[in-house]
Amino acid sequence: MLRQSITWRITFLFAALSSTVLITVGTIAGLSVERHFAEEDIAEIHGKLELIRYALQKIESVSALKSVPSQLNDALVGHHALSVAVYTATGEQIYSWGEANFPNTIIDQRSLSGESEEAKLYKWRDGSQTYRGLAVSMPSHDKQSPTLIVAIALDIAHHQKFITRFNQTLWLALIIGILLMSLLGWLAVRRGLSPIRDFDHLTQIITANRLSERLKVESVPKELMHMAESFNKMLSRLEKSFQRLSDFSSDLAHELRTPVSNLMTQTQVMLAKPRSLEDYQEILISNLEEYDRLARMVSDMLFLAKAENDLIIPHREPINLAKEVAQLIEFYEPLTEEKRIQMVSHGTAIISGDKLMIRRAINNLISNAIQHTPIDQLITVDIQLKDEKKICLIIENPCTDIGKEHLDRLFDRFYHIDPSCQGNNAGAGLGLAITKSIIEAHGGGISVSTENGRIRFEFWMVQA
Amino acid sequence: MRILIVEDEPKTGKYLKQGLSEAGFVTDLVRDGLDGKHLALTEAYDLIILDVMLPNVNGWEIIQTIRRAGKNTPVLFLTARDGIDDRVKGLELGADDYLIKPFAFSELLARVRTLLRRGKVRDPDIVQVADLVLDLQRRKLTRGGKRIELTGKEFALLELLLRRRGEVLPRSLIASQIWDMNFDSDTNVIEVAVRRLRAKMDDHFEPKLIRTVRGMGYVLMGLDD
Repeated sequence: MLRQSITWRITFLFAALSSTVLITVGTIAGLSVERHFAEEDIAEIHGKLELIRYALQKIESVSALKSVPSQLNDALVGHHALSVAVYTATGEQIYSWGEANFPNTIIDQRSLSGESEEAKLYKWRDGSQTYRGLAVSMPSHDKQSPTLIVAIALDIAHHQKFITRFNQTLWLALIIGILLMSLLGWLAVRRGLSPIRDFDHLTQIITANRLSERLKVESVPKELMHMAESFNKMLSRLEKSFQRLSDFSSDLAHELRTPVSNLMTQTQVMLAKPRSLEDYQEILISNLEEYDRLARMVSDMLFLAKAENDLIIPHREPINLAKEVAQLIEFYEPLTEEKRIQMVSHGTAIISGDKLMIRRAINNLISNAIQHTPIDQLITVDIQLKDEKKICLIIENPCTDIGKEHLDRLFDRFYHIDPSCQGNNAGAGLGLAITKSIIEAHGGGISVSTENGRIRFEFWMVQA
Repeated sequence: MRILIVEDEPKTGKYLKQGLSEAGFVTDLVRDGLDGKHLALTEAYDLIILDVMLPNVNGWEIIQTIRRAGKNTPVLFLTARDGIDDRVKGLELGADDYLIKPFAFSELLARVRTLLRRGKVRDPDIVQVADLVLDLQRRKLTRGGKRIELTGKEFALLELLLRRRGEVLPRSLIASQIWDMNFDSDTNVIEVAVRRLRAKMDDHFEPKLIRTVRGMGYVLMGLDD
């Protein structure tokens, strides 16, 4: 849950970010305080070294210093935090002031390197005390020991105490700061993301019964506008499909009810009293016709249902469209001759598709055209190469005027322009729907238009 | 001709048996896959009609067993499924034909006869019914001694009816055999085609040879059939 919540993610990121910044700033502050104290200590130590140097120059010999340490003591009096020790070059301590014990490393190292003002500063602990100090060699007037080693140390306990307290306060402040920033971040994110919650709330309202609800695009933030629009478009599509589905269910029930009720009524009437053999034969034949229609409707419906669920996978092979059309024209010749309809075809092209399905698709268009073309008229079939790889097949025939509102729905299942002409031999109104689903299963498209009393079906497919 | 019917749906089985018996076949009907398998292996049949969905042993298993036993008895599958896969599977397993429920009985009968005729002696080149003589070699038709001109498709239609005289041929079978149209047309194009054929070779002659069987199809028969 935590991982999926945008609020938590942003809050976490924000907290991590502010923690990093605060900790960096805190660390820098801590370090600079420490450095400030170190610099202060160095300045003091060097000041004292000057004093000592000055005092030592006045002393004649090592023994003099030993016997009269006050010569140096005077220079150091009043500096309680200070410790000083003087050694001969051989390491003999000849003077000591203060409480610090100097570790050997300081004195040894000093004796190895030459004199320098930039002597290395050491920091060490001695019991509860912390010292910072260094050792330098200085020239003396004594012949036996031309250089003396002077070690000096400063008790920095009070500085350390201050730094520790400062650090404690600093880190406490940092932790409080981080917590506060996180909390504020969380509040800000929550507030900033409130449009998304509104969005969510709106989407929750939408159910199958309320598909007409739409998000108000103008009331959502800019960033979500695109999403809201897409969402609305999706809703429109859903609503349309849903509408079609419910139309379809009721149409299906209606389409089935008529033949079933015919069958029931006429069979019951026939059985009501004894009849002649011919009458029984008649009813059986009549029933057979109804069954036939039902069976065809069921298999057509199955085909469409499969097409709808993308279960129709065309078995592709090269198909010569002109040949297919010619074959269909020949098939319908008895009918067209009887109706004195002329059917001509132009052009040729090869497509890749399922032969049986493509033939069925074209057949539905042609038989549809034949049924609706008046006597003595012309049906034209045109096969054209459009664009680079697009092949169009256009079937055009004269027909009575069809309203625009019907055109869009011609490919719908069970759609009849004139609801009263259902049944009879007009078919169930599934032919064009099947044609459409076949063409679409092949990755093509189909459209219909009318012009000057002619209706024109046009489908396109990718060239083989 | 002996036919084994393996079909678990009681009504379908009963009518298949009745229909085929009345068409002159000897039929055995079993409702269980196990019985069907047993009979198919032990008895000699000229044709087996198999439902795919059966209790205990399904149709596919039965045909596999039959073929593995080295029997080449023609098998016609009946199924309510019409997935391409099913069809391919059935044919791959060695089925000879395939019918999807619901189907017209006349269609089944026509297919059964086609399967039974397979591999039989060639039809003669000249076929005669009553006073109609069709010379298949020279593609000539005479009736009562008079020469009648037919178009190519009319000739093919008459040939089909003649070769299968006495059989009721459903419209869908005619469309698929003559025009290679393997689907139902919403139009009455077959009726018109048959009417035109009749106008040439039947209308002005006696007896009428082509008869319409309402709701079923067309049949060509002479007086002695």
